[in-house]
Order: sequence, then structure tokens, then C-alpha cells
Amino acid sequence: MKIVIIGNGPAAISAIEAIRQFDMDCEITIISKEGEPAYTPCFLHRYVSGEIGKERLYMREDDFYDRKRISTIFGVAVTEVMPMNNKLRLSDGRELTYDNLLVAAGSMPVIPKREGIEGEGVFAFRTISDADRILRSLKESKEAVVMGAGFIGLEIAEALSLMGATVTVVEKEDRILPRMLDGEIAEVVKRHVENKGARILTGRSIEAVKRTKNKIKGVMLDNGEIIPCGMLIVAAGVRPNLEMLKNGSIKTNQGILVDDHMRTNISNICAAGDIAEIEIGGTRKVNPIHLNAVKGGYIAGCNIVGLDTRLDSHFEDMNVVTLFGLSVLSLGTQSGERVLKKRDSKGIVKVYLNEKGRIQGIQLLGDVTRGGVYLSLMRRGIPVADRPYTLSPYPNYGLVFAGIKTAR
Amino acid sequence: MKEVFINIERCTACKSCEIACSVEHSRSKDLFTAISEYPLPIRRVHVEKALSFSYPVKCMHCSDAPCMAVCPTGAMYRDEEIGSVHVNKERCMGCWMCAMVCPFGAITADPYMKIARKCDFCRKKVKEGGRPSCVEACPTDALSFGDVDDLTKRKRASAAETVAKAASMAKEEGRKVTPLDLLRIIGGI
Ligand SMILES: Cc1cc2nc3c(=O)[nH]c(=O)nc-3n(C[C@H](O)[C@H](O)[C@H](O)COP(=O)(O)OP(=O)(O)OC[C@H]3O[C@@H](n4cnc5c(N)ncnc54)[C@H](O)[C@@H]3O)c2cc1C
Repeated sequence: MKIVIIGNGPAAISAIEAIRQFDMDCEITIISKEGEPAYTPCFLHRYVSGEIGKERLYMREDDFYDRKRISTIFGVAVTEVMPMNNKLRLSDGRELTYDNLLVAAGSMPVIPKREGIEGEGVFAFRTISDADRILRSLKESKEAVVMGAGFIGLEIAEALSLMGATVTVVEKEDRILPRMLDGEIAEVVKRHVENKGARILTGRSIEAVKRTKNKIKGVMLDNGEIIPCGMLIVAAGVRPNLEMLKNGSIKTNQGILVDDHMRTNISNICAAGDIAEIEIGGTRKVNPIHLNAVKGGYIAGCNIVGLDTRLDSHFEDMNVVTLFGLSVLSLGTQSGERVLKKRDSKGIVKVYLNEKGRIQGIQLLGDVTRGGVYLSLMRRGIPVADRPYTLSPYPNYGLVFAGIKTAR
Repeated sequence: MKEVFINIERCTACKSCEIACSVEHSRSKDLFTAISEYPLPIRRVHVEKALSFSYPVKCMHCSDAPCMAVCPTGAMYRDEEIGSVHVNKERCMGCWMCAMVCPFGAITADPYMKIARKCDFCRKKVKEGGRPSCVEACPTDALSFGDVDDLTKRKRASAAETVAKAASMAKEEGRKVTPLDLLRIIGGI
């Protein structure tokens, strides 16, 4: 059996480990357009700030591909998938056949159309080469603007400001981390980041990039204000890498549509990770987080070697990010019928409940080490309406009652 | 494979396990010097109150460990010899994704190094045939260590003993020994 994997991120690595756990003999080829061994982008900002070296980004030991008996084709992109004859076309002109294909090509930053956005001085922040380009550009300019105050935008803003740059983050929503936090917690984090030296503008959008000759001079906001800068980093969301699926025989929506086994509509093709849009019990979801990539890759790998493995349910929206030493964790959706809140010397716990008293959303600020306990309470649908002590993951009447306020 | 068993009914929240864990993870391994060490040793077991019980919360070394799956750096790994889950200090970057998914809240933050710390099963001791320090320190046997089979056997034996006691009590009182009666006496209902 000849297995081909497109992509070399967490989903691909997890699939390789699953396959090799059960089958050491089948032939596996992995293709990645990047020349690097598998790495996680999760800590790229710490590489930019100089806190860690490049070697710390790699997810596995140097001999991983040899030990797992994987043929690698790195630095070459797949330009077309041709399911009719089980073939791939590569950017170097080669063609490659497969018996089983896993598409784990991840996603790419969205660069919104704006006047002047094309050209030098504008960067995405996704890959090691993006990080290296930003580092080179930092030598020439110490003024940066970041488009988007999601966790990726704020992480790169922190890194740049630690490198001595003047940074302004522009966010079109009314608060930072809009997909993770509600207004109140977002405000606490915003103030913390601003105190550490990065400027943040919410409710503003970047309308144009100003250049003289080709060089970037600044960005213009929707209110006409011009922020001078030598580089613009775009962190305005990601989109699955679907370009290689030109002929349309693999079904897609926002991502490649797969079932709970990570199978596409074509029986010998699976997809997993950021590129996949998983359909379980009628709901579809693209979930570009690390955990989803690892689990999806594992499930795809198991199914490729003939084990019947599936994902029971979608992963909740979840993320945890640390900005200038302050950690913030978010699970689920930050809205609901009722709010429970606790604040003490360790930080803030804020829980949203639905009308049945079940947890819908959780935000932890400061001490995030109990996050998983709340996740498990939320997953099991444990009602807490009449039992606010559940706010402490380990219920303790006396102590916890004292600290609880029911907002709204 | 050996495991630590927790019997919530026996825990009295004396916190001996917490102290023993701190001492085990100190440099001096001595209580009186450990408390003045810098950085302070970090315990990986936390006794938490729950309703009328208390419970020593620690890593359960899950067989399908979510912390290992989610760890983006590969810092969480399993020691295949004894089946325990560990953090590789050199690889951990303190992103707290493990804490985000651990249903036991067993990840402790190292305030000095900003990385994840957790129960390491007292790996060295256990490999040399010893018992984890928390188990050694527990005065009530709320924590016990042994083979899963042995422990379940012991559990069955103690259940049998409880039932026998209840049965003899019922007899003394001249009651008929129905299962329902037994449950009442044991306190099951
Ligand atoms: C800066 C940053 C920080 C992040 N931080 C977090 C975090 O804190 N927590 C979290 O949960 N998630 C985080 N994420 C998201 C997480 O990294 C992704 O969800 C995860 O990497 C997805 O894995 P994947 O294997 O699906 O795809 P990717 O990691 O995107 O890998 C895709 C692979 O496919 C290759 N590829 C792409 N196109 C082609 C082609 N045409 N031909 C051949 N190869 C191709 C790429 O080279 C790459 O090897 C972060 C992402 C970024 C960018």
C-alpha cells in the first residue's frame, strides 16, 4: 500500500504516528512545500522575540522520518490533486501516484484586499520563513502595525515590542481577542498589553497602505488617521489551502468536507487539521486549533490502516494564550443567560450559563491550570444554576460562596 | 503495571501527601531545609475539599492522556517502563494547553520557570522498587500503591468484610438480613 500525505504539520505527524503504530511496512511519502522538518507555529512569536532558537520549534527529533521509514519530498508544493487517476501534480513538474491520500495542507493567512497592500513590507505570520522575513525587516524599521488583535496578532505584537519596536495593533471589532473573550475580560487583557508598551486601537480598520515609491510609509485607518510604520503584519484570520483541488471532484465548503472518520467524498482520500471541515451529526465545523489537527490526523491515520476510528464530537472552541506574562484561557462561547464570576489574588474565573444552568463559556485569567476541569464540566453538561459553588472546579462551599457574585 | 489508588472515603485532608510531595521535589529532600529553599519546591498533589469529602487531586497517568495529545512541543511523554506521563523540562514552553484539557486539574504551574509541572510518579523510587512519597506519607491509606489486580482484590476483600460486619450486626439485632437492610446499615442508602 502506498500512502501519500500532503503537508508536514501537526496533523500529518500525528497521522504518521498512528499509521506506524499499526503498520511498519506500508510505503509512506510526505510532501511539504516548506523545506523545514515538522514544526509547530504555536511558538513562532517566541522565536521572533529571541526567547528561543529555531530548534525549539521542531516537534520531533531529527531522526523522526528515518525511524518511521518515511520518504520526504520537502520544498515542493502539490499543485493539483487528480482523484480520477490517483495522481498528484507537483510544483517541480513531477507526478506522483498514491493508493491512499491524506490532505493535511493546513491553512493560510487571509490578506484582505486593500489599496497598497501588495508589495514589500507587508507580512503574514504563519511560517518560519515569515518569521525570518519579519526579523530581517526589523533591522530596517522599528515601527510596526499589526492588523488584527486575535491571539496571533497579539503574540507577534508582543514579540516585536520585546524586540524594541513601536507597535500599534488595529482591530476592527470592538475588543481584542474577539473570538475568545467578552468585553470585560478583553478590556483587562488590553490594559495589561498597553501597560507593557503596545498600542491597541479597537473598532478601527485599516483602509489603505501608504507607500512612497515602493516603500511602505504607513497605514491609513477608516477615520483618515495615518499611522506611520515600516512594516505591516496581517493577522486577520486564516483560510484552508484549497488551491490544489482545482478540478472540483473533492467536495469542499469552507474547508474539505469530511465525515467523523476524516474521509472525504472520495473513498481513498482523507483530510485532517486546519484544512478539514468536519461534519458530525449535521453540524459542520472548521476548527483551526492544534488539538483538532492532532486528533484528526490520528483518526485519519487509523482509518487508512483499516481501523474503524472516529471523532465523537466537535472540539469546543478553545484556546489559551499568554501575553506579556498574563495567561488567559477561553472555552466555548462567551454569552449566555447568566454569568458567574469570581475574582481573587490568583485571577478571574468567569462562567456563562445557558437557560438550563449548563456551562456555555468559560474564561480564566491569571491562573489557568484548572481549565481542563471546567472543560470537563462543560462537556458533561452539568447544570450549575442553583449550585454556584461549582465555580470552583473542586466544590468547596464555604470558601467559594464568599467570593461569588452573580452578575446581570 | 502498578498504580496509585485513591480512596476518597479515607481521606481526612491532613495534607501529609502534599508535604511529602514537596519534600520529594525539593533539592535537600528534607522538610526543614526544604521550606527555606529558593526556588521553593513545588508539590504536584493538591488536597481539595469536595462537598463533605476531601480528595487528593493528582495526575492519573491516563492511558489515553489528553495532555500528551494536545502538547504542541512533544514535551509530554510516557515512560513506557512504568506507564507514567512526564514533562520534559527542556521542551515545555508553558503554553498551558495541557492544563486546558486535563480533566483532573493535575497540571501545576511552575512560577519560576513558567512551565508545566505534574506528578512524576516518583519515577526513580518506583523503578527501584519503592512507593511514591505521597503514598508513603498517607496515614489513613487513602492513597495506596500496587498492582491493579491486587488492589481490586483488596477492594473486594474490604467490601466483603463490610458486608459481613453489617450482616452480623443485623443478626445481633435479630433482623432479617436482606440486601436492603445491609445497604442501610453500611450507609449506602
Ligand atoms: C502564529 C501561530 C500561533 C498559533 N498558536 C496556536 C495556539 O496557541 N494554540 C492552538 O491550538 N493553535 C495555534 N495555532 C494554530 C495551529 O498551529 C494550527 O491549527 C495547526 O498548525 C494546524 O495543523 P495542520 O497540520 O492542519 O496544518 P499546518 O500546521 O498549517 O501545516 C500545513 C502543512 O502543509 C504544507 N503545505 C501547505 N500547502 C501545501 C501544498 N500546496 N503542497 C504541499 N504542502 C503544503 C505546509 O508547508 C505545512 O507543512 C497557531 C497558528 C499560528 C500560525
